[in-house]
Amino acid sequence: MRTEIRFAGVGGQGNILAGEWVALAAHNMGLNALQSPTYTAQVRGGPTSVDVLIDKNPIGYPRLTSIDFFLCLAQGAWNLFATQLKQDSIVVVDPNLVTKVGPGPQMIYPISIIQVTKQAVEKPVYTSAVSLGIFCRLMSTIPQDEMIRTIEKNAPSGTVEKNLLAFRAGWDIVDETKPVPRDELALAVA
Amino acid sequence: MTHNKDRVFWAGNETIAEAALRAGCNFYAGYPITPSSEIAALLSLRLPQTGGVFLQMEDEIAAMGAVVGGSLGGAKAMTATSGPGFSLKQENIGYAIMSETPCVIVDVQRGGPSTGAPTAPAQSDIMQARWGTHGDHSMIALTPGTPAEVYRETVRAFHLSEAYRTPVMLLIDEIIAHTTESFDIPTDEDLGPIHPRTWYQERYGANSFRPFHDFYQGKHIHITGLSHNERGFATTTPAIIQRGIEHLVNKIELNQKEIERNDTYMLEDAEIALIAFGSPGRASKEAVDIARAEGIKAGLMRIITFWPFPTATIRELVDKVRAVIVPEMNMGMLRGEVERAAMRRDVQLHGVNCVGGVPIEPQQVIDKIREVYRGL
Repeated sequence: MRTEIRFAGVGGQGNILAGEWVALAAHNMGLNALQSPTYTAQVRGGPTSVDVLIDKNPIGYPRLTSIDFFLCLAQGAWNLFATQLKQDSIVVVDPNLVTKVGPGPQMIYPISIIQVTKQAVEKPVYTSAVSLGIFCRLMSTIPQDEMIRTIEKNAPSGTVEKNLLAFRAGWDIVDETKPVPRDELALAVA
Repeated sequence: MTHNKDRVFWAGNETIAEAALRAGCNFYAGYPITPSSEIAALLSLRLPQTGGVFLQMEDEIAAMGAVVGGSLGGAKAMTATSGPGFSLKQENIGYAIMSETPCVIVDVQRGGPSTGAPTAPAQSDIMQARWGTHGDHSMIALTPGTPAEVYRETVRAFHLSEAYRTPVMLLIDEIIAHTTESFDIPTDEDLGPIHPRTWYQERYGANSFRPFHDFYQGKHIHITGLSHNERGFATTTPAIIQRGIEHLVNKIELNQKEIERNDTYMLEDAEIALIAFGSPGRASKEAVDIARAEGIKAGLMRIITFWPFPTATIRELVDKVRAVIVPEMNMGMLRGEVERAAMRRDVQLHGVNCVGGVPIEPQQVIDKIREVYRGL
């Protein structure tokens, strides 16, 4: 079955890295995986997104048409990349960074991802690993142990431990979070 | 699950760099430009490891000059660029054509004209690939559309450049360049023979100009961009100039069958034929599946050798169908060539043109197929 995933935010948050690792983990499982980033000429601070496609069958059209999982960490990125969403897409936003969401998904998981990262490992640089934990907990696409193996293999040396802590924090925060109807997102801000 | 060791997870640019090394590339000169820079970045690491030369030149023009020089010095030489850099390289590409110097030029197409949209895909350089440099000549330009095909066609680009002693263009777009994907590396059998750099020097027919030895082989050779005789010296004799230009054109045009490569999908009984190249081929293939499910007899011809243009193949196809749709990320460059190939045949010809820096979606293609089908 074709699974469509998008991580979006601003350059420097590690969204593209998160997408790369999801796709890499799927590839290592023997699935067909594809990832393609979208970014502007501005390297840091500009809106970025990464699309990931995973399928047991060969992948045809290499872009997303009906998103299953969308995680967004910036209002500007939402405005640009919250497309191809369905009513039942699983959508995660940091409600401190994304406050206005348009039509599409019925329910949204509000998770203060930057805050969770800071609490778990002090530095927001590990945001991508928190996002991966959230993704793995909410979707059954990549088993937890496969994702952990991918992190261990690909994280820069000296950062594996903190990446895994951040991954675990992302995994755990999902259990404490309930999705809210789209219109009530503003009320979810911590 | 099984994990095949020849199965990789590479982006298009990475694939080109790796395939170039497989083909024996041992010389790269370039100047970084989005969205092609990863090719240079990777080869800057890999070439020195394998005894090759990587040169970052001061600009695009010098980079193309260095590629010609590297090849004349006996190397399998390549460069990679994108729209604005491709424009700058044209004069030295002409020099490579005139001096019959084998080399490979990768153009990762982005939005233009001018600086355009550096991070967005386009397919608007195909005419520049054919006619960007001045003077009469033929051209070989390859437009692969899938990851394994990018690998195979990169290797083939080196082969063709040596077989026909001419620069060969490999044209992809930003989508292919930056999409990382699982695929199986083609086997040795798929790729065909990979020759040492010198093999083509024995390969010339009665009507060909004999290839020169490389530099530094103890032979006196003369290379010029002027019209020249078979010994490489400039000439003003009309008959020799005429023969030289005819040679540049015919060595490619008369061997079209060997060079041409297309992929076809469900064309056997098609009433509506899609003709596409590069990444829109994938959206088109999905659109064919949707159309077939609705009972519309659609099929797809995907062009892999864009130049020399598959004129005869398309003429034959056009005779069998009632309508042709050409999806492309430009304003109709391929459609114009299809029209020329079709001549005055009574066939409907439609385009799906996207120049906004986003891919053509299957939905756009199927919408057009339905519209055309209703009008048949």
